[in-house]
Amino acid sequence: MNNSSELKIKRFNIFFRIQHILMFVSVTALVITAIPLWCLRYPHSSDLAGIIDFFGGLESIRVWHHMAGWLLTFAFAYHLLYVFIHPEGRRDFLLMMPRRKDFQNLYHNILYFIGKRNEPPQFGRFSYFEKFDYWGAFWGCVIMIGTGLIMLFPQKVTASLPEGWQSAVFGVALEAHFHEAILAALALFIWHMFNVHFRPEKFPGSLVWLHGKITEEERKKEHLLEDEEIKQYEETS
Amino acid sequence: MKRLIVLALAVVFCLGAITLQAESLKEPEKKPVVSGVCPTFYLKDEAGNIIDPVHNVNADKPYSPKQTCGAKDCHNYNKITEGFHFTQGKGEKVPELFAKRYNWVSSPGNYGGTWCSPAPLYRQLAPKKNNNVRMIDMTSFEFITATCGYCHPGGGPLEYDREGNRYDEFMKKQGLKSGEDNGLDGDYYKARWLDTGVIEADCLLCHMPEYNFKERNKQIDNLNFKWTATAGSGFGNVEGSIKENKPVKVTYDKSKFDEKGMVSPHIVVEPRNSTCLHCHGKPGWKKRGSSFSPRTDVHIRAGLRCADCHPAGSKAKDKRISGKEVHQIGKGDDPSGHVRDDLDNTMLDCSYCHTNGFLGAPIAKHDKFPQHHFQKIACQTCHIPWRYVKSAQVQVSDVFNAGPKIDPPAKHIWTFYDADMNYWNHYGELSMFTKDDQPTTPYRPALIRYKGKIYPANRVHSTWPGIVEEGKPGINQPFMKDVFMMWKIHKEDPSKYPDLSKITDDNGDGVPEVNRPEEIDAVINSVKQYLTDTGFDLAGKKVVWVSDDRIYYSGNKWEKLPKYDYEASPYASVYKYSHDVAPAKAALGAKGCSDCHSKNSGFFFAQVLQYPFGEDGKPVTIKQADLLGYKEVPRGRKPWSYWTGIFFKYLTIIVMAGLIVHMLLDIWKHYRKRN
Repeated sequence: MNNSSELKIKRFNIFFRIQHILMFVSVTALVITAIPLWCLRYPHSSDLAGIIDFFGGLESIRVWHHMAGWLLTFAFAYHLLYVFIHPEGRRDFLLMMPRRKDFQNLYHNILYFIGKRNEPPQFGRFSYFEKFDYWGAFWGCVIMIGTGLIMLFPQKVTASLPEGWQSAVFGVALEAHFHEAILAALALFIWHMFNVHFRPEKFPGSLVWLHGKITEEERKKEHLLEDEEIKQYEETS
Repeated sequence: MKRLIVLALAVVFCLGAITLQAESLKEPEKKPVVSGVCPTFYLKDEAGNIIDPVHNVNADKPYSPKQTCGAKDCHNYNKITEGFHFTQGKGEKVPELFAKRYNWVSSPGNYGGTWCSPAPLYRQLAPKKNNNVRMIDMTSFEFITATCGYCHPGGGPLEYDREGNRYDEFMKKQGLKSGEDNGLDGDYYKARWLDTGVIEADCLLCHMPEYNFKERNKQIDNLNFKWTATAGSGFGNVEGSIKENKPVKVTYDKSKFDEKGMVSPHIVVEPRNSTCLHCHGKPGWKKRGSSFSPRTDVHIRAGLRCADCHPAGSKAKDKRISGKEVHQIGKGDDPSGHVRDDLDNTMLDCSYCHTNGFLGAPIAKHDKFPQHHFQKIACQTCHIPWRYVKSAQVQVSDVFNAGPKIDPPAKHIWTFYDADMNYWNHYGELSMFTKDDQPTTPYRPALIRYKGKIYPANRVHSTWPGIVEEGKPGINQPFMKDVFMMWKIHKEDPSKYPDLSKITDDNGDGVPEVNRPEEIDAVINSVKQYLTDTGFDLAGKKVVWVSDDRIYYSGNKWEKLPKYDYEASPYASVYKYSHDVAPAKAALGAKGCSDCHSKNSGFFFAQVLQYPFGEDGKPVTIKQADLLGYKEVPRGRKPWSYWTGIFFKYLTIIVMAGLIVHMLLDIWKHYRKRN
């Protein structure tokens, strides 16, 4: 093993890794338990009713879905706390902010894909597609947790809403929860899984989510500008 | 002279002033105190004269409810008899839907409308003007004797003809004769109003708990119309019979009168349940399997009264029916009931009591149910998950029902099948059982989608011979008595109308049914033959056979009839179930969502009847969800919901398309680089 392939560069600390594990456990559980709930959209199909029966009936599915939802809420709250309290959390959050360079990198990358550029773009600590993943998950959490709570506590929400708003709020919550869930699941299971597992250079995937480390080679290839970016961040802050 | 004039004017002025002063000191006219309790009163005859049997004044006259209760300063008889219980559709315009479908209706109610039968064939009111005796089925006079009078409270079509004339007075005025043709007038043909008198609205029928319906009905059978109120109330005993030309004599029961000759009967404001059920009980059994018993209904078990939910007059909450002495009784909205549709949903609905605890109702808690359940599903759907008493799901009027104890005999033309398609001798059971003896036959009600909500209902299926007439919309029916007679003649002599022998039992239930092409042809040809033989005017008309929403011109030629999705047939009723409500713990959903959302659930996956008899004579069924038209749970149609859905749909398409293109380009680049 040469130096460049040793896992010696720490990319994610333990807090971030815990958040990610909590996130993927809860989201996976949410997606699985959402399948029989999705079946309710077609209640007349005996096959789909059979799926509900297979999962043990709607009551138990709902219990598991709500438990997974609370786990996601915990993970998201933990992340917000991490961003507010931990210096690395704060730093990474600010480095996650989209910049003009990200759009330039996207353009550059596409030109590279189609052979108009010889080299791919160089990224800092987070590439534009990692930022897309992050902000997708971040706003996904806001929407899914928010709308989930509205549907979980309808009477409390109703009591706190102005007269005449109830129907609109519940209608929007239901639609947003349903559609955002599909978008989030597609993005996670197609895009994110591709980028971290099925991308030709990545297959079968790294364990950075577990130990938090990457190799020098990975660092050079994917985050060449990270040091420069962090230095710049430290100087400005 | 001048002095004299001045003096005279002064005297006149003084006298005038004294008179005015005296007038103002007079005791104000005494008016009855409005207290809800009826004071002691005199009975009055039709001319408004006091009947006082104690002093033998007019003691041979029947009493007139109109003159007695409707006396000046008492009750407003005219306002009261505007109620739809009295008019039974009389004077109401035929609804557009009825006009398109039925050739024979002249009102939306029992009088002139669809009678009180779930499906054809039934007695039909003759038009006012007729030119062929053979084409008269039932006159206004016969409307009373064809059992309708047993329940009708009087007033309306039992008192006034279609032009607003009081029958007996009009006959006298016009010189019409009792029992004669009288110009084939649908109100007077063979009528004996001059002898029988009319049936005025009988207030005590509803407001006196001890009212004797049997005695009243006996008088109707004897054609002693104007004596019915006297006999039913028990004020007097009525003997004799107009029908048998025996003089009718009334003997008042003096024990019911005080020393002044006045009466003080037991009068209540709100009719008791037993009073309502006297008329609504039996039809409710046939139409809805209603029991109205503590065994089957949580509301009856709780001691509620009909009038609690179906208020009227000053008790009514809805402005459409509230007001002193307004006798429009709060009603629901039955899909096939069209009398006073403008008063639909004037009764107290479930939510009225179960959201504010009215009359001690428990407040409904449905925390675990998603809101759209309440927008799309009626309370009854979950709270009437089962019926315990059978109802007539199918009424066929094309074969002879050989069941015992069916009376009157013409009802042999009706054959009923219950919710499980078992033959049901309803009229035989009616002759033997009271509502306390109704056999227990649990079944799951079919569900219909009506006005945007799902309801449990009996969507009646029917097969019957009909008549179509060139240039007229809809279908007519042959007279019930004609089809009965055709079968009766055939039964007595099978060589008469021999085609009827081709109608056999194909499904092995012991009862013949019409389903095969040759059986359909046999009905059409035999009915046509009978009508021709008996002089029925068939010019420009064609006999057909109708099975639910199919009209058969012959065994092999049929067309579909337009109908609503909730109907089995455009010519058979749809009765929503609203009574015999189960307790909350027995409701759908009480044991969990899988009461409905499971492969074994009847809510979506039960097989419900589509046609009573297929080619093999067996029922043709359809999945409940298909009947309800389920394709996908409809999402919010309100703008906010709609646009949120649209936004996310397009967001998903755009984002995923971008990501997939990015991935594909990435892969393409990789393999191109490698090669």
